[in-house]
Amino acid sequence: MTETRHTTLSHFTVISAGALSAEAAPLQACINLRGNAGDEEFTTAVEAACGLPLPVNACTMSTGNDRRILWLGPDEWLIRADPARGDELEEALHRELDGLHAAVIRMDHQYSALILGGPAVEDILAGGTSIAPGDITGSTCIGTRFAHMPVILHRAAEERIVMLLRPSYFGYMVDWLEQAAGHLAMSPKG
Amino acid sequence: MTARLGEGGLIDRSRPIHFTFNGTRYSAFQGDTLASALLANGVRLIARSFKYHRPRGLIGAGGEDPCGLVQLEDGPFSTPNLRATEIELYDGLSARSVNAWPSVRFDIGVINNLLSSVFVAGFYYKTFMHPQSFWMRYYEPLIRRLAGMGRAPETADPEAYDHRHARTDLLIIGAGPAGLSAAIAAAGTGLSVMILDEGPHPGGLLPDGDYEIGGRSGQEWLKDQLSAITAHENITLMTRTSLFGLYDQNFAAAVERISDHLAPQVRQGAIRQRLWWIRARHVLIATGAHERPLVFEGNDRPGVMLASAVRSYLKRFAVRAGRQAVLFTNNDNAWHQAFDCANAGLNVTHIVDIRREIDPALQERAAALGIGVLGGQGVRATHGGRGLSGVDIAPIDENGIIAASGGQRIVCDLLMMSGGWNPAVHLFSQAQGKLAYDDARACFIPDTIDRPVSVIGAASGRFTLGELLPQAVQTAERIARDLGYTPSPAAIPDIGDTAREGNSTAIRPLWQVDYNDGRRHKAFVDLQNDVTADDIALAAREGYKSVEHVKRYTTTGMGTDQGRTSNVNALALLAAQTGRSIPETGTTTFRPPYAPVTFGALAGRAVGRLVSPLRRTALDDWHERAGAVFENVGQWRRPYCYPRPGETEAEAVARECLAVRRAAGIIDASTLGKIEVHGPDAGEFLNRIYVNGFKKLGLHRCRYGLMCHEDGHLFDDGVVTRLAEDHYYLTTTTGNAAAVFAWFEDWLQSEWPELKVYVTSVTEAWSTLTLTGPKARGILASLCPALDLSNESFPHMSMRNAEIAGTMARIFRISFTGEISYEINVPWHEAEQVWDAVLAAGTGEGLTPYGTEAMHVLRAEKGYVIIGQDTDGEQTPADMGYGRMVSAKKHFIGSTAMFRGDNLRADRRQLVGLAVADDNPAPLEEGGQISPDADTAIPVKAIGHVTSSYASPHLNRPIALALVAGGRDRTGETVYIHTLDGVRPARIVAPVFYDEEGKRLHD
Repeated sequence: MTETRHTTLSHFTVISAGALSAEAAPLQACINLRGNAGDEEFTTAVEAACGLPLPVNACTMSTGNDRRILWLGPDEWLIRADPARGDELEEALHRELDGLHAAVIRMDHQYSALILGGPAVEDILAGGTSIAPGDITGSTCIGTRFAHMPVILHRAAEERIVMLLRPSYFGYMVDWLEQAAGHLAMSPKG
Repeated sequence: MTARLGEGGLIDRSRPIHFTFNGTRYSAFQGDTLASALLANGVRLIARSFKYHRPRGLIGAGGEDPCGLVQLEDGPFSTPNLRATEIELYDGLSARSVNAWPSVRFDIGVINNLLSSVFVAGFYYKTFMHPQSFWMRYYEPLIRRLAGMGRAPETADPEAYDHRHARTDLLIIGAGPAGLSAAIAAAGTGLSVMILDEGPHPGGLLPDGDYEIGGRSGQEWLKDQLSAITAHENITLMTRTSLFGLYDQNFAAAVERISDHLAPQVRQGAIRQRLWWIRARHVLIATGAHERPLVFEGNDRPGVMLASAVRSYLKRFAVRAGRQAVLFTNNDNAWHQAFDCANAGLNVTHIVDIRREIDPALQERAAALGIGVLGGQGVRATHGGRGLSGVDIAPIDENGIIAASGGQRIVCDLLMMSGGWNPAVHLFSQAQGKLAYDDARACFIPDTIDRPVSVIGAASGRFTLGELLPQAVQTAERIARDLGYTPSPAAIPDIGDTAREGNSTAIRPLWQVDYNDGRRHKAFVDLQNDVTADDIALAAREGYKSVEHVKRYTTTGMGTDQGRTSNVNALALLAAQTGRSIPETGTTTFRPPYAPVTFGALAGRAVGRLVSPLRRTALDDWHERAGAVFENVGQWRRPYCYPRPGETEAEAVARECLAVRRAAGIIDASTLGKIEVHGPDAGEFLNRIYVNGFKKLGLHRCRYGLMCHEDGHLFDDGVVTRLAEDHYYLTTTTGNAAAVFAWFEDWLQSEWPELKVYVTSVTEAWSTLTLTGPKARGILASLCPALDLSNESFPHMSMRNAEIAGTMARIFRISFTGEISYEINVPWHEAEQVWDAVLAAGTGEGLTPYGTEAMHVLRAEKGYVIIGQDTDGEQTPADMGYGRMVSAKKHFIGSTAMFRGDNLRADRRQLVGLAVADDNPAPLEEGGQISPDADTAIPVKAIGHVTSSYASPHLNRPIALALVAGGRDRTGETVYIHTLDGVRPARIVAPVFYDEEGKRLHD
């Protein structure tokens, strides 16, 4: 396990402790987008490039077949897409946003993703953040602090939670989740 | 088990257990607390008092008890200063008294009691002042030893702790009759409810008395409520959970004791305690009330207890706290408590009440139970050694003055006292609620609060079930409406006959038995801190009028009980002493924590390996396999050096340094902060941020930049590269990355919104591998055959995009070693394949991985500074020798302040080099103070300090950088570095020790 702990280039199971499962998701194409959400030209251009509406409300997310746009701030978004569509998406954004004040920064490696599931996921999340799984619907994404680390949480298919985090925190996060899952399994007797 | 009744109580008599106290083995039952078990075994002397080491027993039966502090268990599981009343007994438990040395029966500190005339209020402040030098050496260790209060365990805590966040509509604190009724009523309207109780069993005082609700016993009613609560999916009931802090916006902190009631060997790694962070839309305080002790001579003798405690021991644990009991009181409720006790088998011989007029109904019941009634009388003194043997009773007048002579002595071994009840308003006060004094009830009650916080039950001064049950239901419904729910009218419980409790207002306050004889009396107000009524009077005479000052001067109300029993008596006495009313005197502001919290619970999982988030680079596994010694840099862990087998760290560092100077080295520099700056005004933005100019920077060219705060003092540095017309890329120091990014956003959002610029952190999009040394170019050439590495095509301070080891890289030719260097930036996770390829290409060239220490040595040889190490937050660029970098043609952050007089003084501390002038090969001490002379006579004049100091393997001598006042003009002078190890001479030189012309960068 420790051999692969610091990389998420490929898909692998990190924790399978019965009550909690955590899987490392393979890298996605990842683009950081900055621009003026109040400028209709900008939002139209982004929608034309991505084929998805730009989520302009706090903590919301647009989801398409092979891509998502996550709201990170009033003028900042993260676009995550199937790796095969990354270059095309980046080019489309540059093309559609040409002449507008916006920044398109490709950063496929800036985030790692853990996919959390299992019956204990609610308890485990409650140990690290005040955000509860019930807060995370299909169209929300929430940037928060989890056990003193910055993360972004949103929901994936099959009721599982996606946790985006900087790759440098990956090893510590997995250690933390493993310990939390281990403690949960040990309830006092008597 | 002399004191245990043959039947009754909530204990499990089928499960006898054993425990040890002060080395003696006793037996008890499952369900006992340590306190009830000790009383059951006839043990009354539990502890010695804090200051006078007087013998002390139990006063209370719960969290209010100030005296029964013990050290629980030994070794790693040991916990100091726990209340015996709150320790649930388990088989094999071991505890001992605190504050008793060598033993609780023979205590050397008792001499303090004989010297008590000097141990008055403010004693420490008055006595241990002179000479000042004695404080650290003699006074403090002596006081600590005698004052003690238990010992912290000396080994690591093996237990696990957890944190949990939760949110709820309604948080109810206290699961007594009020809290339980409110929970059911609130949940019925649809609210989510969390209800916490600090004890193991919900119910508050219900199990203690012969209460009746609607014609049924309190116990039966309780059972019904609990099954309703268990069945209700909206209610979470948590026992053994103490709420200790109620903060802004109804953010509450509570500690749940999950396995403290189990023996350490049974817990087996399960979570011991869990800290809860709860956010509630409304907080309902139902924390009950604490019975108030009476203040009279000898009220601390073991055997003097709160009436409610005596009843609680009797009814919950079937323990008789004495054979012959007397009640001393000023209120009706205490009479009912005494009747409950008499009915349960305690021999109550007399009720002593300061009131002359007493409800005839009470007198009749007393007579029926064979209890003698002494109205208009008070307890003047108590008798006995380590336990009570009798009390002196005498007439007491309307003003609380007791007759100095006459009266009678009553033989008894148990004195129940009750001065009324204090609502537990601590959490209300923490939440900034204002208190009001209720004359009729003779207590402080919650008044106004501007937060969604309400108070019900005894905590609000409603002491009887008849008052509090309707109030609880009505309050729950009001809260539901406030939160947008529609309550269906719930049935107010049918209370029926409540004559068994006593009216809340049937009380005549007595704050102190007043002796009025000019003599000193040991009448205790605060039993945990040994504060007497005389101490309060003395503080008042010495001019302490504010209740906050008196608290700090006398220490009353401090400590683990937070003044639960002492506060109100103390401030009432202060009011009398200063001729003010009680409301005018006011209370202290209660602050968290209301209940003690272990450090373990506060730390939670953040201990050991998880003490703080640790950031690893993509090459961390490689470093680990290569045997790196790591150091933490901010949150990051970085290789310090890579010792080979048999090599010391110093030898490894020297080898790595020489490899870079003679051949080539490679370092993982991925931790550098990386920021992209984008937009048509990017150049203008950088011009305002940095002291030097960037608008005219050529495409793909790099420039070293310095950043200052508004004061003109250096804050960070880094290299800026122009990637495109409106696109720059810059690096920051590792530890400052987040601060620099926040600084950029702050200026863009708050001060310069007109600039069309976006900044984006890309720190972990890129891994950075720095290849450096005279052979670096050849190694890189073999990996990037298509890239022209000539000085003409790829000069120093420029960047190129190139493919390397199958991935696209941004390669920057910038140097922090003084040798030709290439900072190879590749996508984060592709670092290892590139690192391996570079190492393979350099195998025959002597390419050596190096760590942070070699990096520091190499940069110091070149005189490259580290902002934050070679600066102390007060240096201008000119102080550091970078004056020529500062642009005079533009405004930038710090440009105004930089040229004010003080920042231009000739005697400012400036960066210099130091060449040691003795034969000692060891480096100078970093931080060593620099003086112009070697004289060590105090005061030594300090003109600066050593900022960086290393043994230079290349030069084979120590080198150092320093900040020295007017340092550049002192070049050539000899100065002296003063450290605890002695004085060393050094010569001031230019802060460059290697390749002063910088030829090697351009070779």
